[in-house]
Formats: sequence, C-alpha cells, structure tokens
Amino acid sequence: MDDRTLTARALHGDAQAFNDLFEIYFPRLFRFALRRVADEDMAEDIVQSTLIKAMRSLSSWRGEASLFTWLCTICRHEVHDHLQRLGRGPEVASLSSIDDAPEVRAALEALSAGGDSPERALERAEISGAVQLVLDHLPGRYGDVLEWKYAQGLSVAEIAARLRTSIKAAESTLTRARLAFREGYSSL
Amino acid sequence: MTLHHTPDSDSDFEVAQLIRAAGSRPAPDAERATRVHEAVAREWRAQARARHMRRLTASGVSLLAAAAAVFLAMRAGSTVAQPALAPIATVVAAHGDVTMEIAGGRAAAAAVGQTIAAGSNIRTNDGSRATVTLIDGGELRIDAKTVATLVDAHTIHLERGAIYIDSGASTPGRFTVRTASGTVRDIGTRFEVRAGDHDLRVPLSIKVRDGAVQLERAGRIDRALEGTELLARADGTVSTKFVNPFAADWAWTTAAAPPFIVENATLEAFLQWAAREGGWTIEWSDPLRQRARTTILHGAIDGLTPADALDAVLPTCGLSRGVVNGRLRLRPL
Repeated sequence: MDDRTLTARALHGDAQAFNDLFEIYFPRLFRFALRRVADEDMAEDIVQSTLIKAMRSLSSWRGEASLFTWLCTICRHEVHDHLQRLGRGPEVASLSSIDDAPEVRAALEALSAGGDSPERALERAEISGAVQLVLDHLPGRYGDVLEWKYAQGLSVAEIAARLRTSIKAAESTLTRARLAFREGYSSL
Repeated sequence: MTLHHTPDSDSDFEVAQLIRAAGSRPAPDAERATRVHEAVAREWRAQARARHMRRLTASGVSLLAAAAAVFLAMRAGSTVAQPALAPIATVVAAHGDVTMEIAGGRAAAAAVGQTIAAGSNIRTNDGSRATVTLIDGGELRIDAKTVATLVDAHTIHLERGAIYIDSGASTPGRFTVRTASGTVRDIGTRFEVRAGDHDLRVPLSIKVRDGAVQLERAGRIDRALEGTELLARADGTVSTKFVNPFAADWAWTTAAAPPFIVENATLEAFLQWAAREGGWTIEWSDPLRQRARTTILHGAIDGLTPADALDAVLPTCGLSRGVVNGRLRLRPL
C-alpha cells in the first residue's frame, strides 16, 4: 500500500493504517533526529513532537514531496526548536542530511578514492553510515525490504509475509528497491 | 558514490554486498517505540474524533431529514434501506459554492477536510470547482456546472458537466465513470469526462492526458489513448481527434485543485508539480536535478497557473524557462 493510500486510510480512522505509518516512519525519523542531536532521549522527544504535529496536519500532505521528506521538514524545525530551548542554537554541522551534507559528501568522495590509509576502519564505518542513510531515504518500505533480504537474510516468502503481500509482489518490490538504492547511492 | 553499471546480476550482487557489509540499521528500543506510539496514537485518535464530529455536524441536517424519511416510510409499512454512510473520499479543495447532498438528504456546503459518504451527490455552479481524494488512492477534480454522484470509492456517476480523474498510483482499471451515453473505464491514467453540457450532438467527450481509457456503450467498446479526445455522438458514432496534454483546455483542472504549498518545498517538487499540471516533460540534467533537490523554496503561488508560477519562482532560483513542443527546458539566467 502506498503512502497516499495509507494516509488516506489513517485520516479515515483506520488503526491498521496508522500503525503501519508508525512502524515505517518512527525508526527512520528517530535515526534522522539522533544524527542531529546525538542524544537518544532528546531524539525521542523530538520525534514524538514531530509525529504529533504530523497527525494534526496529515490532511495537508498532498504527495508532491515524499511523506518522509515532509516528516523530515517538520522534524528539522523540532530539532531547531529543541536546540534553541537548550541554548545550543542551530548547529550547521548537526543539521546535515542526505540532501544538505557537504561534509558527508566530501568524506565519501575521499573514500571512493580507495587506498590503504590507517583510517580504513573509520572509512568502512563511514560507508556503512552512508548505506544506512540511503536506506532510510528510500521511498516507502524499500529500505526495509533490502535490509531484511541482505542484512538479515530473510527469504522472499518471509518478506512477503511481513509486507502482507504475495511472493510475486515482494519480488517486484525488491527489484524496484534495488534500482532505487543504486540511484540513491550513486547520487551521493 | 559509484555503483558500476554492469549487467543486472552483477550490479544486484554489488548492492547485496554493500548492504550486507553495512548491516542492519540501529533501531530505537521497544520501550521507546511503545512510549512514542502511545502518545502519537492518542493524538491521532483525538484528530480522528474531531474529524468525525465535523462530519456529523456538517451532515446533521441531512441525517435528520433522512431519519424522518425512514420513519415515515416505516409507518407506511415499506422497507427502506439504511443510507450508506461509509466515508469514501475527502474534500481537499472547494473553490466557490460547492454543495453536497448525502443519499437523499438536504444539500449542504462542502468544506475542505470534510469526508464524503458513498452515494453523495456533488454539485458545482458557474464559478465553483472542487477536488476530492478517494480513499483507495486517486484524485477526482470537478469542473464548474457539474453534477456528479460518488456511487462508491471507484465509481462516479456523471450527470452533467466535467470531471477529471488522476488515478495516481492506484491499480489500473479501478475507476469507472457512468454517464447517460456510456461507461468510461480507466486503464491507469489521467483523463477528463465531459457529459451533456456543451454540444447536444456530442453528449459525451473523453480527453486522455496519460495512459488510456475505454468507453463502453450499446455493446461496443472504444479505446482512447494518451493525447486523444474521443467524441461519442448522439447518433451512436464515435470519432477521435488529437489533443495536446499541455493545451489550455486542461487549465480548469489546476484551478479546481488545492494550491501547491511552496513554503519549504524543494525546487524539484515544485517543478514536478508544475510539469504534471502543465502537461509538460522536464528535460532534466544531472546538475539541474541535484540543484533542484537541494534548493528550498519560500513564499506562495496560490491562484497562479503552472506557467505563471514557473515565471514567479524560477528567477528567484537563478533560472529561466522555455517550453518547446511540451518539453520544459530550464536554463541559468
């Protein structure tokens, strides 16, 4: 089920649709906030405020931007407000994202040059971070199905069961997810 | 980051290796998830209740009228079916006076955010237009001087006037438009159906912007493809003619829609909206797409056509535009 359908159903009071939305976006938003504030309790508060505000204005999301992009916009404001309340003020470095992170891009460009530098372990961690960042920013459940398949070793049948869909539909989702990942990762 | 463009199996192997090496993403712990879920679910339920109350208030007069009708019919010994009140759509734009009548009730003004029950009748006058989103996906835009009934989430009965359906990501073939002159089915598309309001010799016309539709009438099926207008005449003949996906005829569909929210949108999202509404194809280049993805817009373009909106927004991003044969080209100023 796509985001438009899920939000439409949630707006009409469908609890399953609300739970699906929460399951898909809570972990991704939590990581998004955590990358910016580096404090799990603060990230939790920020994501809670973000999702509550999102529920109040869910009907205004029309699908021009992806739902995750829309949620991230709300989340960025929440991060900014939280940091201001703590007197930390906006920190450019802490507000980085896949869209606006020259430092991440520069690090990854350096990594792509290869070589056996002493910082190789750190570089690998950076690459892992970049892969996980791309997975978080893929549309819908693409990031989840790729992680289930390759990082957790689930079979297509198990993935289909998690998605409450057919094996054929799960295979098709995996194919589209791989394409989306290639495009997202290549654009870094 | 570069992924080598080798044959698919190699490339897929590379994707698998990368993700395997990166491992699972860190997940917030279950306690945290439960706490946040409870708080957000409370808010979601409160909002759902508020929407429900607004809906009841809006349709209160109609419900009373329907209840009275049922009571009187029962006294007369008849069996009357309960009106179907399951919500199937939501009003997302109402420009001018748009009225709605729920299954035989009294007409009431339609408001943004209001849900629509199966069997509701929607009417627009000379200067009004509206857009509703359907619960299973897809968008229905309603032109001026139109009378249409939402039979269910996939079926619209068009009495007169014009409607435009954007089936979006919903399953092809889900939407059916019934008219007195035939039934139109989508095959994954954006199309306009106009019935009985312009030319008595042509009681039904169908314009297809993307995809395809088929018209079923009197035992015959005609198919209309993208860029085609299908004219079903009163004498039973059907003809087709070419129609531009970017012609001015489509302008009412944008006027009926909710405005695009520019504030904090990316330039990419704005361009995609403008191209979709204008019927153009964007000529993307890698640097342009990169720039469009990272440029955040501010302001408002309410009431502007897609072309006027482009002219208002692009100079603020250091860009100008040209449209040649439906292709939107962007250049640095």
